Amino acid sequence: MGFVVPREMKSLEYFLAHFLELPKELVMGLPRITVLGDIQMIVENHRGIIEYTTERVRIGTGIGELRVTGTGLALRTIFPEEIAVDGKIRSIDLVE
Amino acid sequence: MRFLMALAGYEAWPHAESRLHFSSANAYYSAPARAGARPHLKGQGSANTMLIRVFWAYMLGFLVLAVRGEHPERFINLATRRGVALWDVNRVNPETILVKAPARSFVALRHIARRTNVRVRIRARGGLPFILQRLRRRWMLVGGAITFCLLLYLLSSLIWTVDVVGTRQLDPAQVRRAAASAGLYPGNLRFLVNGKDVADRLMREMPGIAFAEVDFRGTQVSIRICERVVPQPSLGAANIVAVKDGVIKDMLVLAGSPQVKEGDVVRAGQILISGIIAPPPPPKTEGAPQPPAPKYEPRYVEAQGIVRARVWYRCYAEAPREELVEQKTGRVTSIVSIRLANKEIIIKGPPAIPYLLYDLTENKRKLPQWRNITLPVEFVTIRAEEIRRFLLRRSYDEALRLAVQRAQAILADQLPAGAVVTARQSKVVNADMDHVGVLLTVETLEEIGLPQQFAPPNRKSDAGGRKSE
Repeated sequence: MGFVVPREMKSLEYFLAHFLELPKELVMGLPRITVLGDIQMIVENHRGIIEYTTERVRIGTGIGELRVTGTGLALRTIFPEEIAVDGKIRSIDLVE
Repeated sequence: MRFLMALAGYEAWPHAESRLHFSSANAYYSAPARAGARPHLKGQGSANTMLIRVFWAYMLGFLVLAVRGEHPERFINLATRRGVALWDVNRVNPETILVKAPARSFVALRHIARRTNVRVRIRARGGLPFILQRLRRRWMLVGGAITFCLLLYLLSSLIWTVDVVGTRQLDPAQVRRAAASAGLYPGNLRFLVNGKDVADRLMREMPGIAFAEVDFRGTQVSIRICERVVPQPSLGAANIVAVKDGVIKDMLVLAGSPQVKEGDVVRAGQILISGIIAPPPPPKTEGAPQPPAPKYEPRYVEAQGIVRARVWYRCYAEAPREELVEQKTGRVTSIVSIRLANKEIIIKGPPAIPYLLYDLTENKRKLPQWRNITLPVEFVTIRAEEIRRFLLRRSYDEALRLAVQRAQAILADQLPAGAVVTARQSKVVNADMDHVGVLLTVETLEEIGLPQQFAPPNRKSDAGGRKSE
């Protein structure tokens, strides 16, 4: 399942994605993060949940760990391709 | 690329195990591979798919699970990786999180729980399958609901009332009977009756009906009818005679021979238009001999025509110069009381009426009688309106006007409906200190002709005799 893009391939993949107009998040294994104000965050292309409490949610992605802090956080949906976090979001950090 | 790999991984992984442990969950495990066919598992964040997901979760049933353990995240990750979609994940306390999951995935989740060292307990069940399960136990409730709906439908499709509108000469009951024989009667099912057929049949079967229409309004049906204007049956031979004395103003003869002309003075009962048409005079012979004239006989017809005449009416009325008049002052007192056998308890109002003169209206209400037992209790409402009595003095002119008004009121009752008043004249015939008497004369223009049947004689010698009468 884990698919880390080798360095030498990266430029080629990037070129291919550009050239063939393929969605980059799929080709390059990048998370697509959609934030709606401070009430919702949707992460597509994730690699699972590392930690979940009402104050902090850590989600694994292809480029590191996504840390969300806030209050009253809940995971609205958890699917193989998508996680939606609801609640009052205070910060979103990307930790390599 | 990753997506394809993921598909391959999902496909390969659970199949191996499903064969070992849970064949019933097999279909569920392979679900992500057919994400397109199973919309509730598709991971698209739009509101539309969210709605579809909620719908499918409801249709297939879902569980609210309490997951307790040190690392519930691992449980979630493993479930996700095996294709079990979870939603509404909430941490209720440091070691418990609540998770919603599809009902069918429970066997798989239990297995996952064992592997990740968490305890899973079902908190609640939701969705259609569980509701159905509950209803299967309460089948009487379901039966009652269905019976209710059926009964409501049945009763609302019955005809409850049939009204007949627009009858003048015809008996509504007769129309109703005719409609009933066509199927339109209270108690019949509405959809068995075709309104157009019933209306057609009414028009066909009842000669008095010119047009019929059946109007369904819920459970009420109204039959609207327009009656045929049937011509008056012929009287046979008839004269037109005067009903009143008068002077002929104008005449229009449609049938028969006129006996009077405009300007003639006629008396009541006089023949105006005769129903006997005399034979024409024999043609004059001019030199050459003619064949003998055919023998004519008088014809007897129903005389028709309009005869309008000036008719005079006369009437006397008087008005007093002084009169004792009662007038309401506008002050009202009402007393509400309960009257027991012979006691009276006043609930509202003064104990006695505080006016010298009054107009009294009493309204008694008894308790409903039940099986010959009448309680001697009455609710009485008395309404007293105060009256003032005074002597009204009229001037001569006022009294005269009142007398004329009275005379006109008397005459108005005597005048026939179609009469047109052409002149009015009042004359004071009687005036003193107490009274003014007025003689009112009114001239009208009205129709005075009335058909009157007569028996045509069999012998023609009789005809002449009658005619000259």
